[in-house]
Amino acid sequence: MTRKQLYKFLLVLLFVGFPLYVTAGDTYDEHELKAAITYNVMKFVKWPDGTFVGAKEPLVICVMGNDATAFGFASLDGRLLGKRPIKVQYLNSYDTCQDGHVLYLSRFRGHHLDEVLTSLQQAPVLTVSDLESFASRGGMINLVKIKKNIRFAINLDASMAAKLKISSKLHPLAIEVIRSGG
Amino acid sequence: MQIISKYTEYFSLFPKIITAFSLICSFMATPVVAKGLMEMSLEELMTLQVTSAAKAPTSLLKTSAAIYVITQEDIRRSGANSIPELLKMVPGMNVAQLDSNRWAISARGFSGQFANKLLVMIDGRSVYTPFFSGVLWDVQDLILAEIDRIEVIRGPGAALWGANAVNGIINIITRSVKETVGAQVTAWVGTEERAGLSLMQSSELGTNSYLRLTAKGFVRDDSRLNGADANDDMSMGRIGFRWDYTGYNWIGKTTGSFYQGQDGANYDRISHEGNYHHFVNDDTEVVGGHILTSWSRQLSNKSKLSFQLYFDDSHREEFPYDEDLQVVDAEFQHNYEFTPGHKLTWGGNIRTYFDDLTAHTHIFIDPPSDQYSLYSVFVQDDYPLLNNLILTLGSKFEHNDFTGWEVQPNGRLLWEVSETVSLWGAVSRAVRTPARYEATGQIVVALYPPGHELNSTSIPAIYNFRGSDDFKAEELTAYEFGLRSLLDEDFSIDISIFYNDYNKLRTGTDPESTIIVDEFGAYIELVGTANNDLEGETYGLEAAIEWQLTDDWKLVGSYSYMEMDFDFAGQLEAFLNSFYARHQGSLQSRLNLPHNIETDLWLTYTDEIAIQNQSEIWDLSVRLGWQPTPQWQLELIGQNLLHDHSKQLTSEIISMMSSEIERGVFLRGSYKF
Repeated sequence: MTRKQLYKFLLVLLFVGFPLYVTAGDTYDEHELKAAITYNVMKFVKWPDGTFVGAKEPLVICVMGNDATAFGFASLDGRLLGKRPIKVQYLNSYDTCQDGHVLYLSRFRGHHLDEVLTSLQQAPVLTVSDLESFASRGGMINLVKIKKNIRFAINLDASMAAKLKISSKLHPLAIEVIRSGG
Repeated sequence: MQIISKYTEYFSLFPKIITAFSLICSFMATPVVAKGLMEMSLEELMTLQVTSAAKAPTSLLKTSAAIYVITQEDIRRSGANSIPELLKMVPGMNVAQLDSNRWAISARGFSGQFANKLLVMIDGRSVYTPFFSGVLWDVQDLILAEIDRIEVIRGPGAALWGANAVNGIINIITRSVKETVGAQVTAWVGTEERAGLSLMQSSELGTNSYLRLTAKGFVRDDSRLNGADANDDMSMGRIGFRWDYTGYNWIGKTTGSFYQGQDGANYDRISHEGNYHHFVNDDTEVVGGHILTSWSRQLSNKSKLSFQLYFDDSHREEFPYDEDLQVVDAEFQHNYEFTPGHKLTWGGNIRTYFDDLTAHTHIFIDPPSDQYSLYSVFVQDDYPLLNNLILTLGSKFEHNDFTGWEVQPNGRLLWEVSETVSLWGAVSRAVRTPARYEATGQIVVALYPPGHELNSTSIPAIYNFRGSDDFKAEELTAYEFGLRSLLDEDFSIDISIFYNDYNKLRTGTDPESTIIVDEFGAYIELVGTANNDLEGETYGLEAAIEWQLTDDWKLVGSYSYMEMDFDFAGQLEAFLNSFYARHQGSLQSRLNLPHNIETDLWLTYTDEIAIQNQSEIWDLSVRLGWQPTPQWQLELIGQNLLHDHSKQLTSEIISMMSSEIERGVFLRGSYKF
């Protein structure tokens, strides 16, 4: 092929060879977005009476994992949920979420899922993860990336077993609500 | 400004600077940055899009130039510890390290230690030296974490940026202070990147007012020359600040810096004496700083006015010459939007250089001290021919003291085919105005011993290049075409092709020869005088891709191909203008592992440069990063791993010796609070 032919070929390639897709708008950091969505979901959750001693007792988020999403939860530390301050605790694999109210499990710690859920023994802890099929495997809030948006699925059976009340206002926003008997 | 010449004194000064800096820091409060995301409702949050893994933000799709943006993430995951290393990821950039502190960097060919067709700016401040129209890379530095992005444009940008934006422009842009509120300490230790410490502290001073203070000091080990240490190690310290103010009417940014350092370098003081080569190792002393302030004001919703003023002072004591340079630069710009999409930008600039050059050896300059100015106006109009077809016409009219008025127009067309595909084309003219030594200097370029193919006599011949008052600006007419596409959310591609037509390029007349006899013997002095008789064409293709294969694995690649079509009049002319590699490639693999471990590989390829006897180079960098907590980051980085030591390029001037760059490994830790 001569140089001229090569250039012609490339020009044709440039014009013809590319399919067209559509996207729009500003974009946000995935990890911060996941933390922000979790924070907002927490606003629709009611813990059983007696969970908190006083109005100012902190709400503890246990974070299991040390990937970027897990670190995204650090931005919730010190923030208020209603009047209650949030405290974020990073756990290592062998710790249990003893005094926690929310547990975030990293998708990289998926192999610990069963032992984590067992260790909670249906304590009133809201479990959150971006692990695939987390909700169908017994987790409560499953963060899911669909195309470029972050959405979530809810497992009401799991939350009810832990005596947590997830407001029905949240249901229409979820991509899936798991609940036995309809 | 005075050079503190002794190593020890220099180092005794640096701890004091750091102490003073940390004292200042301790007096400042560190408020928390407000996060807009947390204030949003769930419904709003669910409509937001996460940042595309593949890099083709909307702004790039709306740019009708061959632009590549190095982001903060690219910087972090490259494992690079200095600005020049980062440029290797950009297609079409020629980047070679000459020794521990000198770099040859250019775009689309014409590289070399004294590469003169690239404009480099840091936050709007031009950092090129008018002595040879090039960039002294050893003194261009920042803390890597304060860089927001590096925009690299291949091809001419003279219609906006003026003379010397011929083959490319590099814009280094620092982060707004508000984004970096808090403090960060980074330290490193290693074999080549010997040791270093950087500190960055940003605080809110009051409403709408933010201040960042930075300090950095490092020592880099020497490279290798003729089987021994090259003694070209460098040490550098710098402090800097940036103050941002967002008022009701005015938005302002003020930056300042001061640096001081010492670079080892090797020279060959060639002469007809003995075996002609006389190797010298000497330390270059550098000291300098700048202050810049830039303000803009929205006059109405259609109209915006901005001003910028800077002063830059640098002093360099190098073995062949000393250079003392002050630059004062003022500019204004007015943007006006007639109708949505139809934008007019115009402005003016005036810059004056005050230099003082002392030639010691192999360089001659007359007059030693001079003052010269550039003044210009530019106008550019972006006009939407159709909804998605934008025509940009503009020109710069610039006056310089060497060649008078230069007109540098361009025309660009951008077709936004869809929200994810754009095509662009451009025709532009750019000039490179004479450097000081090309107008009024002389420099020893080469030596031909007896028996050399360019010397049929029995005595050595020494070739000198002499500047000339008649030397004109070099001219380029460039034709470019490009495509940019976000093929899907995980894959982006950017392709550009160019055809550059150069006229009036610098070369020398047929040398006049004089036989000179002194007590060391006889030699032929060849003197070629600068003229503009060289012309020719270059053309090529550049491509860049980003591909996010999975959530945790990303590939970033680039490839460039270039050819030169010149009829060189001789071997020297060919040698001086052929600093380019026909094929170049770069491939980065960035893999996230559990426990927040990152493993990054970076493979680069540079084709041989036959006329330089420079063989092809494959090289590899590896970075292992670990972020055990949100505050801490630890990295183990290996660079130039495929060779014990290897030469990357020879300088175009015989007396400047380049050495072999060694494999290096360093450990870098960083803590944020």
